[in-house]
Amino acid sequence: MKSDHTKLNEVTRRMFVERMAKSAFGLSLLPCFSQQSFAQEHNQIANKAKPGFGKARAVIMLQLSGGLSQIDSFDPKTGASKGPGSILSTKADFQVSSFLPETAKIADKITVIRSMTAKVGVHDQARYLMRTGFERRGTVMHPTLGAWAEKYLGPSHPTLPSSVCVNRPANSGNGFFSATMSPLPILDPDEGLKNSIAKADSSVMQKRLALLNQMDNKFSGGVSDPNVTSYNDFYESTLRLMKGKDLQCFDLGNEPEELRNKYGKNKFGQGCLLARRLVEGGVRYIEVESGGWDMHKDIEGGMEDRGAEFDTAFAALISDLDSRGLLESTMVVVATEFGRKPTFDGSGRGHHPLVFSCVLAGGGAKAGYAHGVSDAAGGEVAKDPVTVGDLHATVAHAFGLPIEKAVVSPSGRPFNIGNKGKPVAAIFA
Amino acid sequence: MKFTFLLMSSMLVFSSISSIAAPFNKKWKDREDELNDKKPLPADPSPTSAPEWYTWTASRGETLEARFKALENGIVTIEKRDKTLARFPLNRLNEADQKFAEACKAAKPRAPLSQVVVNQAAARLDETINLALKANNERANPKTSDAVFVRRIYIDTIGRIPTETEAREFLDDSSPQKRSNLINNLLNSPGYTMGMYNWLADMLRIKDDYGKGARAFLYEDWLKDQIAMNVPWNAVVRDMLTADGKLNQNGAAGFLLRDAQMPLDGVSNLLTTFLGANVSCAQCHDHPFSDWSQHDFYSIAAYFGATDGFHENVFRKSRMLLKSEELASVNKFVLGQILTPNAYNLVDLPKNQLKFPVDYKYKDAKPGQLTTPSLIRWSDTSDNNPAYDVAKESSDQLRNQFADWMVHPENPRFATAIANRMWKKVFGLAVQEPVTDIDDLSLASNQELLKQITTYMKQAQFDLREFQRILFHTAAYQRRASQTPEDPKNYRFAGPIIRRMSAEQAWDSIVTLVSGDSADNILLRRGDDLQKTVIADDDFNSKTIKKVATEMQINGMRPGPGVKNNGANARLMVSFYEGGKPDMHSGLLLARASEIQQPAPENHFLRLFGQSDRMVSDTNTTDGSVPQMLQLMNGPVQDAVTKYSTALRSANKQKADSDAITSLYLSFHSRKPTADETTKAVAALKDGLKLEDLAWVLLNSREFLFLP
Repeated sequence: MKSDHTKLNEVTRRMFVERMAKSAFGLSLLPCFSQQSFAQEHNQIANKAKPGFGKARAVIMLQLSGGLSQIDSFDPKTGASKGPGSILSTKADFQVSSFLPETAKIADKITVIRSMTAKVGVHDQARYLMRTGFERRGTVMHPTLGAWAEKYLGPSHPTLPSSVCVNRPANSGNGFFSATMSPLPILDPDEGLKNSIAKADSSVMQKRLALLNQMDNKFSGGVSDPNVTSYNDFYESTLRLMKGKDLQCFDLGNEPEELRNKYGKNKFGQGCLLARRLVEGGVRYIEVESGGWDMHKDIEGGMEDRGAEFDTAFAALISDLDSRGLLESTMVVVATEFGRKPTFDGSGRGHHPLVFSCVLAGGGAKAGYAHGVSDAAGGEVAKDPVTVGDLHATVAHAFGLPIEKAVVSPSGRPFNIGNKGKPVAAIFA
Repeated sequence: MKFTFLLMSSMLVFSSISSIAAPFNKKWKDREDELNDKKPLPADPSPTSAPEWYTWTASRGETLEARFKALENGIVTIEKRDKTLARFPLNRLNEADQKFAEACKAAKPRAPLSQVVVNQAAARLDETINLALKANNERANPKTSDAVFVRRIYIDTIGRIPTETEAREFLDDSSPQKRSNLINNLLNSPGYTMGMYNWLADMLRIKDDYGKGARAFLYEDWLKDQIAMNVPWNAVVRDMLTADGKLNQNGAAGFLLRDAQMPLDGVSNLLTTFLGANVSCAQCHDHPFSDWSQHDFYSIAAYFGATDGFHENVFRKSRMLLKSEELASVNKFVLGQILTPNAYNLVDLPKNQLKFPVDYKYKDAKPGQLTTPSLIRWSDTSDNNPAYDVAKESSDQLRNQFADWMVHPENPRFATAIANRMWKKVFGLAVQEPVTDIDDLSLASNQELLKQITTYMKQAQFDLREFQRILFHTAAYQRRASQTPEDPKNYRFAGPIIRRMSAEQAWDSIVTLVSGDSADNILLRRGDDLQKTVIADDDFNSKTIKKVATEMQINGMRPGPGVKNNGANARLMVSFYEGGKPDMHSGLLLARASEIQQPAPENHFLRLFGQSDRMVSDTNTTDGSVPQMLQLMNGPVQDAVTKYSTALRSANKQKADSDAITSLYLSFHSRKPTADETTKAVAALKDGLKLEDLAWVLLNSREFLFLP
C-alpha cells in the first residue's frame, strides 16, 4: 500500500508541475505558487523551533453536529453520571465508552482532549464557534481554518479547490475572505461532484463559452460589485476543473467495495472515505459533517445508531490513512458543538458546554495520549482547559500558519486565527 | 381551546393608532409637524382590490375556483373568474373550507392605501434619504432604465423574472404611470404570496419535517393562507404565539412546536426574529456587549414556562405502537404520520414551571430557583409605554400576556424590527444592520429613516403589502443599484444595492423560462389529510390507530410526500397540487420554490444556490460556488431550458434571426439586445450555434443572476 501511495504522489507531483507550466501563461496561479513556496520555506525554518509546526499538509475536520456526549464517548464516567454504556479499555492507556469499540482498537493512534470548554450552549452559535473559532456576531462572518490556510499558503492545488465540505453546505466558510475561498460543498458523497461533464459537444461548448465571454463582458465588466467579480472567478475555476483529470478524486466508484463497506455504507462513512481521496488528490481542508447528535432523548438508541456510524467510519479513516502513510501529514479532528450534561435522566442529556471532548489524530499529534482532565462527574474541567480558540490555534499550528499575525477584515477589524487562542504544545509529539 | 380562526378579530384592538408618531429630534421638528398635520394614513376607504384566488372544495368533493367576497348570515358569496358571483350555504363547503371562509371573513383585507397616500409617503421617505445624501456630499444614483426596473420589480414583488410578453408589455407601455401601475398589479397577483412565503420561510425556518413522521404541512398551508388573505403582521405573530393544539390540528401551532423540544432556544429565536433583540448569548451567561443579563433572559422566557409542546409520554407511546404487532400490517410511513404529530401539542399548564439553571452563577437569583415572568425593557423604553400595561391587564395565560406586549404597536421594537427587515427585502440592505440586533437604535445608518419607516409600519397597521407598496414607489428604489458597501452603517441609500437573486428567485425564474407564468397558479396543499390524524391522548391505542389508518388509506393518504429520501422522488408530490399539475422535465418538478419540499432536497438547485437548510433563521446566502456553475453549465436546469422551454419555443417561432435573438433577450434578461449584441449573436448563429446555444449563453451570464 505504501508504495502505491508514493507512486500516486509522484504522478500527482509531475502532473502538478506540468500544469503549473501551462497555467504560468495565465495570471491567477503564479502569485499563489510563489506564495506557497514562500510559506513552505517559512515552515521549514520555523519547524526547528516549534514542535509540530507545519506537520499537517491536510486537515480532515469531522463535525458531529448537535453535541457529542463526552461521557458516552471519549470521557466515560462511573457513578451518578454514568450513561447507558459501559467502560471499554483501549490500546492506549485511556478508556472510552463501550459505544466506541472500533475506536478503542485505534486509540493508540489518537489524542483525546477531555478538557474542552466553551460558554455557548445554543446549537447554531456553538456550531459556528467550533467551525470558525469565533463567537457568532451579526456584523461579520469568520473564515474556517481552510480559508485561513488558503489565505496564508495559497491554493493547495492548481485545479482542485483548497477546501471541500462534505454532507453540508458551504455556509460562508470563506468568512470575510473572498468568496473564491469558500469550500466546495459535496452534499452526497456517493454522487461526488455533480454535473462536472459538459453536455454539449466540445466544439459547441467552446463556441458557447466564447460567445458568453463576449456577451457578458459588458455586464460583468461594467459592474464593479465584489459579488459579481467573485462569480466571474467561480466561472474561471469551474472551467479549469472541468478540463482537468482531477475530477476522479471525487468518484468513490474507484474505491474497492470492501473498503467502502469498512467505512460504513452511510453518508458519514462514505464522506470520510471521500475525504481520504481528496487528501490524496491534494485538497487541503475537508469538513465532513454528521448530524443527529442532539441526544436530549434516548441517548442509548442514538449512540447505537449515530455512534456506531461514527465509530466505524472514524476507525476506518485512521487505519486507512495510517496504512497509506498519510496520517503523519494529515490531521484528523473530531469536533462537535458542545458536550452533554453529566445528569443522565434515564433517556438523554441536555446541552453542556462547560466541559466536553474533542479528538486529534495525525499531523504531528501524539499517539495514544489523553490531554486534560474533567472532574469526577464530568461536569467541569479539572485540569488543562482547552478553549475552542485554542483548538483552532493548535490545528493552525499543525498547518504551519502564523497564528500571531492579525489580518484586517474589509470592515477594518483585526482578527487572529482562533481569536488569539494558544496552541496546545503538549499534544504535539 | 382557542384556534387561529377565532383570534383574527383581535387585531381590531390595535386599530386606533393613527395619532402615534415616533419621536423626532429637534432638527426634524418641522417634518414631524407636517406628518402629524396631514395624517396621510390609514387607508383610503374605497376598496380597489379583492382577495386572492382560491380553490373551494364542497363537502362532496366538487371544486370551484373563486375569490371570497363575503360571509354573512351563513351564506358564502364568492366571485368566479368570469366575474359572476355565486352564493351558497356555508355547510355546502367541506369542513376545512368552512373554516377558511370564516377566516376570510375575520381577516377580510382592508382596502389598499390610496395612490395619493402612497405617493406622499414615498416622497417623504425620499426627502429623508436625499437629506442624508446631501449631508454626506453624496449623490443619488440615476433613475434605472425601464428594462432594469421591470426585472427588479417582478423579482421583488412576485419572486420571478417577467416572461417575454410581460417584459415587452411594460417596455412598450407609454403611460407615465406605468411603473406605479405595474407595482400595484404585481402586489395583487398570486406570485406575491409565493415571494413573501419564501422570504418568511427563511426567517421562520419553515421545515416540512419535525422528525419521525411529524409533518408541519398544516403550518405551511396556514402561513400561505395568512399571506394570501393579507392578514396584518401583528395578527399573524399573535396567532403564532398564542396558538393551542397539535401540529396536525392547528397550523398556527407549528411555529412554537418547531422548538418544542428546546423551548429556550425557541424563546431566543423569537425575540431575535420579531424584536431584533440580541439575547441569544444571555441564554447561558450575561451578554458581553449589550445590556441583556441571563436574568433578563430567564425572566422573559418564563412567559413560556407554563407552555408544554412536546409530550414525551405520547411520543414514547407512539414509538411503542409503531413497533406493536397489532399494527404490523399498517404501512410504517402512514403510521408514523398518524402517531408522531400527536406528541406535538401546545397546551398551557396552570403555572410557570421554568427554573433558573442549576449552574446559575449570578447574585440576582439562586440556581434552580423558580423564575418570575418579567418583560424586557430597552434603555430607550419609557416608563409609561402602554405595551407594558396591556400585558398586565390581559388574559390569565402567560403566553397571551407576552403576545399582547410583543405585537403591541408601541412595543419598543416590534414595528421597527419588521419595518427594518422589509426595507432590507426591498433595498437589499437594512437601515440598521444586522436585522437580528437592533437593541441600540443609534447604530442605524439613518436614524430618522428608521423612525419614519417604523411610523409608517404602524400607520399601515402592519399591513406588509401596503408597507412594501410605499417602498416600491420611492424614487430611491427606482434608481440604479450601488455596489455592496463595505460598512452598511455608511450607506445612504443612493439606490438599492446590487443583489444576486435569492435561490428561490433564481429557481422561480428558471421555472418561468421553462413553463411561462403558469406555475404562479399551481399551489401545493399538503396539510388537509393530517387533520384526520388527531387522536385524543386517552384514545391513543392500537384499535383507534388502526381505525384511523384504515380510513386514511381508504381515503388515499399517501406516505410522506416529499420527505422520505429528502423528497428525491418528486413524483410523489404531484397529487398534492391545486390549479394544475406542474411540468416535469429533466427530472425537475417545475413548481415554484414555495410549492415544493421545505427546504428543498440537499442536491436541489435551490440548495446549491443558497437556500437555507432551515435550521437557523436568516441563513439564505447568495455566495457563489463551483457546483452552482456546474449546475448552470451542465446540469438538469440548463437541459430543461435549452430543450423544453417556453422561452426557446417562442424564439423559434420568429422568422428573422434578429427577432429570435430579441425574443430570447426579453425572456432571459427582460430587455432588448443592443445592436452590438445582435450583431455578435447573428454571427454566432451563422457560425453554427443554434438558438438553444444562445439560450445557454444567456442563462450562464452574470446578468441572468444579478439585479443591477
